[in-house]
Amino acid sequence: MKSISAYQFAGAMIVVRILALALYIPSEGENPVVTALALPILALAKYALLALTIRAYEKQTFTRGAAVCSAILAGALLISICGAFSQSVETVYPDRFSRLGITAVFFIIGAYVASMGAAGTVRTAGIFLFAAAIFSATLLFQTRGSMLTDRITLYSPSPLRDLESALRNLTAYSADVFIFAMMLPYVRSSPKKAAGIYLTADVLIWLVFAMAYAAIMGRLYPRSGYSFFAIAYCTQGLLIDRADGIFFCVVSAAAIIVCALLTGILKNAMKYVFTSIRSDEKTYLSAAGVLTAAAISLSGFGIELSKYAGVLAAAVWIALAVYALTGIFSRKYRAAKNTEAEKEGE
Amino acid sequence: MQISYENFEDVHLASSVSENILALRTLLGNTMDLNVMDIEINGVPCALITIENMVSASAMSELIFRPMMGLEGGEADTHEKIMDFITSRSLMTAERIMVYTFGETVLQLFSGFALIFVEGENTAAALGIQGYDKKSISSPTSENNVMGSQEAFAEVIRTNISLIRRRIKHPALRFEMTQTGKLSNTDVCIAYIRGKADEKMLAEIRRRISSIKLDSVFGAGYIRPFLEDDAAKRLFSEIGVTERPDKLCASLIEGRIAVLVDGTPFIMICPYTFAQYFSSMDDYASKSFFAWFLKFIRYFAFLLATAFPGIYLAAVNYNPEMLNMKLLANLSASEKTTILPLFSELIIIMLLLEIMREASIRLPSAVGTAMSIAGGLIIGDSAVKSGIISSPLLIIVGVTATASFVLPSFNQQTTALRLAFIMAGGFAGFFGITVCTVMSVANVCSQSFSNVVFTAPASPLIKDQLPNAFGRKSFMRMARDDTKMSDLTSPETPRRSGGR
Repeated sequence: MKSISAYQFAGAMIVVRILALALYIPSEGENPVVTALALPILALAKYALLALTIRAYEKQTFTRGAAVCSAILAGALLISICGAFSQSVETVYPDRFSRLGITAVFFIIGAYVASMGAAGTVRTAGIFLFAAAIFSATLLFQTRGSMLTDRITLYSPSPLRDLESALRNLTAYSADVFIFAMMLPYVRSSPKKAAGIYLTADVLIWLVFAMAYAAIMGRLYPRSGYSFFAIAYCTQGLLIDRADGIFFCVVSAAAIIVCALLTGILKNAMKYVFTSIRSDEKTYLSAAGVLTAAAISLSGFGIELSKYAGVLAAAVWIALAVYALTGIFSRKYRAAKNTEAEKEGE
Repeated sequence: MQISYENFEDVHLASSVSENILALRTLLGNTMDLNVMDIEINGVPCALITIENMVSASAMSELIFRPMMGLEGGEADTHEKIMDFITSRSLMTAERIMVYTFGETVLQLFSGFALIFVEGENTAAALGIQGYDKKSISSPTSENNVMGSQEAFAEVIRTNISLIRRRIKHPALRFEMTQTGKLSNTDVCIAYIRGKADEKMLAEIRRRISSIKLDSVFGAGYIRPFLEDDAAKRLFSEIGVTERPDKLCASLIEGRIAVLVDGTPFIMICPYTFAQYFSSMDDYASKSFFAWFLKFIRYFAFLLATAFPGIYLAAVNYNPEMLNMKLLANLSASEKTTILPLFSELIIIMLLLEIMREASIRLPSAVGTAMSIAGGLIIGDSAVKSGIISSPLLIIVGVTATASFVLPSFNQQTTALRLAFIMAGGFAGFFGITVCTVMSVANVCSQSFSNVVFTAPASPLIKDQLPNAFGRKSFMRMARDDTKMSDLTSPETPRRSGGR
């Protein structure tokens, strides 16, 4: 295998996305029966929707309307992920980092990494996947269960409900299906097979994550991001104690790579829409600048996009699917009309 | 005959010897090193033209004077017969070229050829009797080995070609010579093994070399940026450089292409992957398990040389809870005795290290040893005792400096990255370290040369080549595998050939 296949790409995207999303703060108050069934139902729904999107994409060229939809979605997700990550970092390290500073750095660094091209970004993700696996294994190996009791009081008294809520929110509002659908034009392989592998691995990894999570902690915690830090804070090694700094590096890298992928999508969509922009670097910097300004402005008005990311993503996807389906039907209609006209001409 | 610097390359030689000599003297400004010997053979005026100290006097007398004087009184009494004798009926020298223009004449003269003009012939015979002073083959200066060959390339391109030819005795080894540099007309040679090297890559290299519009080319460094993609934006180079013939021949056999430049012992290898910078010929002289260990040491040394000071700074300033309690207590006690913050100490000591390194390169070797002792022991020890820097920091710097000597080919990159990591760790802790790492890795991952990705075989994953990237394949396995350049190519990477 001499090139990055959709499988490798999907594998890198899954773990990177999981680590980045691990710092999301899920909402509360769902019905436990529904949330317990949510995982398999949503996985099937996602697969059905993704298959429909792929079918529509195969029939429809990437028009300006689809580019606008992709740009809006990528921009919204970018602001959402950067905002959520920086908010979590500010909460965990309030004396060291500020939210706006980290958000701005994320946009600019994401733009730089995205300027290396899709292949370069995905190779970077693959390399970091390997490093993240080693760090995570080291963390788990060095975790001291005897230190966990000190951290338990920080968390919820109803951990099972909180875990179900976290799983449902992460699968329902996770951006992976939309990210993958938008990356399809840039992934050279069988898109349907890749989508199937991607979603299967997605479900499996989430199941493994939930099991490991429960087994290590003894009980389950609502704030998945904070629990990772809690685990990292319970390590004790010969040279390195409290490994939360190392874990922070891993999740930062994952978040930057996700931002880079989204910035790449945004750049391609913007370039398609505003075809007068010829310089890639200017496009990237423009995108970073616009998003920074948007994030700062929205924060100033008290609007947190991370809350509405799922709704926004679903709305844009529906618009994209409707647009694509409309294009298919209108093309069939026009083709049928042309055939009739030719027959009459003969 | 009107001849000038603008048109001399295309001006054809005249039939008159005197006219040609006059034009040549005019073109060269009557330079003092132009030697013209007028002779007459059977009544036919001839001339022998050389550049002083470029030809061998003994070869000239034995190979040119003796046969030419033998013609006197013989049957060669016309210009056609004389030229026929020189070109077809004698074996005066191994190299014999016919020149037709003043451009070719000047090129051969300055390459150490002797030119024979014959009255009535509008061409001249250039005979290769080079005898200029040149440096002999010596040991490598920057790529030392314990058990490998001790020969290095020399400044003369033809000597280097012979060193390669001696090691690869196969007709598939090819050399293509060209000239680059409008004023210097430097010889540049492309070497490859037909059937192993990728033809498209070869064509791309030829195109890039022919597109060089410099006035002068005095070394590999002049040509390297033209062969690279986006040279200004890349941290590392996908064009390797070596002065070892054994290493170059091994690369040619793998399907890579070499570019030799006259006047420099450093030969370029295209393409080069990141993993290859960590290879050494000692790997092939050691046992397989030790070769793996050496590779690990080199990778670890690279990480130490680039990221260790920055990580230390980030850990101590931003995440001290990471460190072991005893270690933290010792570091804290040491830092309390210094007057400057840790970040400032690190910057100052790193700059001093670079100053000493630069000074040690420029100084004569006899003084260099004293310089090392003065810098390392006296300055370092005094700085710790006076409280300017702490002793743990001196250990960090010592380890970093030693690690950087493991990979001399990465000197520029390790220095730049080290300072970047120190800045990032000092200003933003582990977040800054992560940002710097992601940017560096992304920069490296996006590099490629004509479809060969710089991070191959790690990414894209090529399992057959992976043992060589992190260790060494066993010789048994190497004997079974047939390596070609196409094994490392990635079809998805677009070739950048336009707009250069």
